[in-house]
Amino acid sequence: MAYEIETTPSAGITVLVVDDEHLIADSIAEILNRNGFQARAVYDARAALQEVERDCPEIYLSDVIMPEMNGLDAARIVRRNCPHVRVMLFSGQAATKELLRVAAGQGDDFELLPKPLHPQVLIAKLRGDHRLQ
Amino acid sequence: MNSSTKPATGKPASTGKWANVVNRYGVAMVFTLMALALMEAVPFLKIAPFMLLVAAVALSARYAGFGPALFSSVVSILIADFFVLEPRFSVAIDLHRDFIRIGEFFFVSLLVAQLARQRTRAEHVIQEVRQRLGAIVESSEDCILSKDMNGIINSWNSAAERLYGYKPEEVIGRHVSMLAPPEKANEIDDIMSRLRQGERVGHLQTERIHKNGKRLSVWLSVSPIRDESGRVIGASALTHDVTAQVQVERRLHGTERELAAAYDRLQLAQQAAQIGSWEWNIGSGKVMWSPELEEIHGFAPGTFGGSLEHWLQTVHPDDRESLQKRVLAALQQGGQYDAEYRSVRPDGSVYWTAARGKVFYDSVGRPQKLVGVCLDIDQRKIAEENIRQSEKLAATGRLAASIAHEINNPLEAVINLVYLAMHDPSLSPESKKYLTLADNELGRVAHLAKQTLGFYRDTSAPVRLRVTRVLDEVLDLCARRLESKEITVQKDYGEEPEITAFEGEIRQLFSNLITNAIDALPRHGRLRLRADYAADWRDSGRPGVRVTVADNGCGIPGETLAKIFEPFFTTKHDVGTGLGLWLSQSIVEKHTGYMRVRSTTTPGRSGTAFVVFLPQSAGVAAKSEVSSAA
Repeated sequence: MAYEIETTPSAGITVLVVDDEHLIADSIAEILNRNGFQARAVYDARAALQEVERDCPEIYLSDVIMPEMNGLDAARIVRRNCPHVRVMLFSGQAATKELLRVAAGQGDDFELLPKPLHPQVLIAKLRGDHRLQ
Repeated sequence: MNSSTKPATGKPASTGKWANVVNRYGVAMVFTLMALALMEAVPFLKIAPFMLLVAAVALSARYAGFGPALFSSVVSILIADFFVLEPRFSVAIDLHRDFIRIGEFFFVSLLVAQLARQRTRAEHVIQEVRQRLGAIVESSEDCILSKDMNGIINSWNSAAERLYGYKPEEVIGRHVSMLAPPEKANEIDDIMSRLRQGERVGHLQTERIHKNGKRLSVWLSVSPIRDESGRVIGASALTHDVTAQVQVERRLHGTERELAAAYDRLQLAQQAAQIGSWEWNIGSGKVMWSPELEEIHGFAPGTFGGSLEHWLQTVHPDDRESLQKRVLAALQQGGQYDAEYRSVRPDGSVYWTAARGKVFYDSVGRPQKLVGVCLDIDQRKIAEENIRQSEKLAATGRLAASIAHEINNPLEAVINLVYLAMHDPSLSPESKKYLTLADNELGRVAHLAKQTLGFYRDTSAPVRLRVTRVLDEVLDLCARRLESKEITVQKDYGEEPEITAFEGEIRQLFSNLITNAIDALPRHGRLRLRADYAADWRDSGRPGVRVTVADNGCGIPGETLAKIFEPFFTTKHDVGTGLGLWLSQSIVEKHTGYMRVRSTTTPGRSGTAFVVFLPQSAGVAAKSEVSSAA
C-alpha cells in the first residue's frame, strides 16, 4: 500500500510517542513515520523509560494523564537520563497547565501541546516550523 | 375559756340505769343521815332540827335530783319523828303540834327541791350550750384562738393546730407574737391597742409563720371579748388561710406581667426584623395588619383597607390564585398556613414576601380566625438566586474539567485517523473531498471543545484584525443555511473598523450571535449586521468598535431574556447546548468589552439585537495571560 509522504524532510528524527490510549499513540507514530520521522509508540510511562534507557530519542512526546506513572514524572526522569532530549507533553485537561507551570518553576521547562491537536500542527511543531503553529 | 376547747371525755354510757338510781338515792340518804349525825353530835342543833334536814334535802336536790330530794324529805320526817321529836325513839307524834311542823318542813323541802332542780337543769343547759359552742369552734375550718389583754393565748382550736402546726399545749400560755413574722411585731401591738379601745380589727390581710418556718398568707379578724360588765377582757382571733389564693394571684399577676413583657419584646422584634403580624377574623371578614406590615407593603400607617379583598389586591396577580388555594387548604386541612409569594406595593414595585400562620378553631371545630406573620424576603430571594447562579457556574466548571479529558482524547484519535485516511493516495477524489470536509468539521469541533471545556488557548498573540472581514467569513460559513431559509442579509459597515483581539475567539463570538439569529428567523427573514467605530458607552473616553447583530425573528420574552447568558440555558432543546451565549459573554469580557441585548415580541415589529462593544486594544494584552491560564 502506497502512501502520500510529506515532501519536507524530517531527516529521520527519532520520536518516542507515549499515550495510554493505544489508538492515539499508534496513529501519531504512524503519521510521524509517514512524514519522515522515526517514531515508536509505547503505552505507559514504564515502557517509555525502558525504551529511553536503551536509546535516547531526539523528541519525547508524551501524554500527561496516564495510570500508574504520570507523564510529567516520567518526563523528568527522561530529561535526567537524556539531557538533550526535547520533551513535549500533550493533554486534554486544563489542569495540566498548572502542573507544567509548577514544573517550570522547578527548572523543568517542558513544552505543552493541547489535545486535540491537528497532525499538521503537530508535525510543524516537531520540525520547529513556527509558520504553521 | 381558759383551756383547750376540746370537749372533756364523757363517762361511758354503759352505767346501768338502776345503778344510777341507787347512787342518786344513796347520795340523798347519805346527806340525810349526815344531818342526823350532826344533830346527834351537836345537841344544840336540835333546837331547830328541820334546818339541817332542809339543808340535806337541798343538797340531795342539787346533786341527786328531785326524786332523791323527795326521798330525803320523807326520810328526814321519819328521822325527825323518831330521833328528834318528843317522845324520842318513838314514832308517836303530837298531832297538833308536830304535824304542823312536819307539814311546814315538807312544804319547805318541796320548795327547796324544786329550786335546786331548776338550778341543776339551768346548769345542764349552760353546759350543753357551752359544749355545743365549743364543738362549733372546734370543728370550724377557720383557725380560732383567743387571748387575754396581754396577748397571751388561752384557747386554740384544731384548725389553728392544722394551720400553724402547734399543738394547744405548745401555744397556750405563750404570747401571740410567736405566730407573727418579726417584721410584723408592730402589727400585733397595733391590734392589741385597738382592742383595748374596744375596736374590732376586721379583714386584715397579713402574714403569719408556721411552726416549720413557712410563711402563710392569712385574712385576720380580731374581736374583743367583754365580761358581763362590758369590760374588754380578751380577744378572739379568726384566721383564714389564703396562701393558695395569694400564690395563684401572684402567679396570675406574674403571668400578666410576663405577657405584657412578651408583647413588648414581640413588638420590638417585629420592628427590628421588619416582621409584620396579621389576623383575619373569618366570621367578620376583617383583616388586621400591624404597623410593620403596612410599612412592608408600602402603606402609610392606618391606610390598609382591612379586608381580605384589600389584602389580595397587594398580591401579585400571578400569585393570587395559588395563594387563595393555600389559605383554603389551611382552613380545611392542616390548620397551618405557609406561603412565599410576590407582592406589589402601591408604587408598582414587586417584591417577595413570606407569610406563616395558624388557624384557630371555635369549640365546635369551625375555623374562627387565621393569625400569622409576614415578612419581606426580597433580599433573601436575591441572595438565593445569586447562590444558585454561582453554584451553576461552579458546577459548569467541574463538569467541564471532568468531561474535557473524555472528549479530547477520542477527538484526537479521530482527527489522526481522518488525517491518515485522507493521505491515502488510493483514495478517489470524491472520498478525499469528503474526508477533507470531515477534517474541517473536526477542526471546528476541536476548537469548540477547547473553548467550552476551559482549555482554549489561542496560541497566537492578539492580532490586528478587521472586524468586518471576520463577520463576512462567518457569513460564508453560514451561507447554506442563509440560502435555505431565504434570509436577506443587510450589511451596514462603516469604516471597516479594526481591533486588536484573539481572532479565533472573535470569530466564535460572531458565529454564535449569527447562528442564533438564523435560528430565530423565519423564512424570508432579515439579518442585519452593523459594524463601526464607536466610543465605549460606559466609559466614553475609550475608543473601540460596536458590532450589532439584529434579526426580525420572534423576539425573546422578558423572563427568558434574563437568563440567556446563563450556562446551559437553552430554548433550542434539540440542538442547543446552552453554552453559546455564555461563551460569547466570556469572550467579550475577556476582551474587556460589553454586550447588551434588546428584544421585543410585539407582533409586527418583533426581533432581537445583540450589540457588542470591543475596545480597540486596551485590556486585551492584560487579559491574554488570564486567557492562557484559563
